[in-house]
Amino acid sequence: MADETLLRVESLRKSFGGVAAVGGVSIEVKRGEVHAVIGPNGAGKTTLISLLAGELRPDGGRILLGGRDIARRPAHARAALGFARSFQITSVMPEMRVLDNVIMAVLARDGRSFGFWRPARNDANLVEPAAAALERVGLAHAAEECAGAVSHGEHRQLEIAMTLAAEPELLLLDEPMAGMSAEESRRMTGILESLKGEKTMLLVEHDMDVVFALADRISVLVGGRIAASGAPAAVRADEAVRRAYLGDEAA
Amino acid sequence: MSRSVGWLLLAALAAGPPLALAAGQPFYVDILTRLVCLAAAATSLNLILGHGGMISFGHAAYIGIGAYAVGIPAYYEIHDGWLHLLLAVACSALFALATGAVALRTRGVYFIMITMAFAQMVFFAVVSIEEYGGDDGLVIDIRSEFPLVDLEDGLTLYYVCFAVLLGTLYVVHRLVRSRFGMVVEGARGNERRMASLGFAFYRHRLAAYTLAGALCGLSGAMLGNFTNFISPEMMDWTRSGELIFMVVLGGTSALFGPLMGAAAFLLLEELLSGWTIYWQLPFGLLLILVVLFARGGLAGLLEGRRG
Repeated sequence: MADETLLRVESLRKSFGGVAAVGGVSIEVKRGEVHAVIGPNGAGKTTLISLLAGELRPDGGRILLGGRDIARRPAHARAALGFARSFQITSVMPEMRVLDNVIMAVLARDGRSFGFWRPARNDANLVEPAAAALERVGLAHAAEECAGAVSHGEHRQLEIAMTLAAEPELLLLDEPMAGMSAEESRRMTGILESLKGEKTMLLVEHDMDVVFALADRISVLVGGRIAASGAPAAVRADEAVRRAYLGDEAA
Repeated sequence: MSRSVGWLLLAALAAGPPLALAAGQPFYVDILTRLVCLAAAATSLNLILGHGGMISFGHAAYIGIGAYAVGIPAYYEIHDGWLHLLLAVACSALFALATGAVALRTRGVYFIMITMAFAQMVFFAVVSIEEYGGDDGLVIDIRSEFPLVDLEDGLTLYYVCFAVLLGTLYVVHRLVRSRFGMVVEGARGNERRMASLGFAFYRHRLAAYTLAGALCGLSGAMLGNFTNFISPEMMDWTRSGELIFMVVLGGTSALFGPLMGAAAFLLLEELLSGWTIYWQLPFGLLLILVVLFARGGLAGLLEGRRG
């Protein structure tokens, strides 16, 4: 099981008006590993995540999840196949309670969303896993609060709780540390570390400390192409990467 | 707070008509019958408008379909009430299903326009059918006939309409708290997130749209029975606008909001139209004030929220 490939991306391409945002990207994510994608601004990271999540249609290439090509499946169908994504810019249902947002993720996994009569918020099958996911990310105290009213750091924790509650095969984490204070960032790193080994994660992140602390393998995206891919130490040492990306930091 | 006012309003509606009759004011029974029918229709609209964020500008079509489901059989001297109600609900549901399937592929202002267009299609279809009176409408000589219950009696008719209102409130209350209702509400809050969670919520929206239409058809059947006279005017787009007005005035986020809105609407209509023939002008100003300063409507004000 250890070396089993969960996600294989093969020469994925996407252009916007002649500009290749993603120009033939191939990535392999093994089951259980934390695979980080890093790259400078405009390297195509967000486009790549959107392609993987199914919000954009690729111009070419394949996305194989467990051997099945899902490149042309819509976003909601990919979730059913085991993708869960967290958003770079917090994306929750702001008028609902924090707990309700997570209940929604449990409900999505559970699949029986056409119950018309019994109250969902009293249903232990929904509430208990949702409460457990909130506990896991340290957000149980805010369960009853309106999701639009909690702090930025708590929003990010809620994002992770929602992806966890969906019990996915693969977590797509789009810059989970974006806009966080140092303290919030440390807490989030702790949460992700506690999930390591248990969940397969594809992590897109700017914060190099986080990436090198968490990732088993790193792919470096530059100009819509993978410039290097490998273990953190190897990537750190790679000349091309140093020039193209780590540049001023590493020099 | 808004909950208690809602219950108080229902209690007043339960006790009001016999008191009005005792006081020798049968006119008020008529007003209250119209109120409970319109409150039921507005409550059904709120299922999609308030909870689902689907701003339908064609909801009066279902009042019309429900009313004609009584009027057309009555024209052929078929007076079986159960058949009338079945027709009202089934035709409304079918129309909502067919038009919703198209309308729900659009968003925002396009959704508003397309729902209005579909309702106007029904309006003009009925206008063009001379057999059923066309523009002039159709008189219902004999109201729907039920075993044991005689709708020709004004007070009995009132309590049947009241029961329809209670039933509509209860069904909407259950629906919005169910798993299904959560998905519809979530899709209002954040479509992109709901899709990424794995919901194909188009189907949930269509089901909500169909249910709201079916419920409204029921109140339309009662309204048709009450007025004894039905005409295309019942489903004119301005009627749909009035239903939206009631929902927004009363508050979209509360179960009793549309009931409060309908009550306030009819009350204002009575008061202002007695005062000036230009009563729609202060009406419009009031709506602007509500939208600007009290987004939660009357129910929101009672909760101390101003949105």
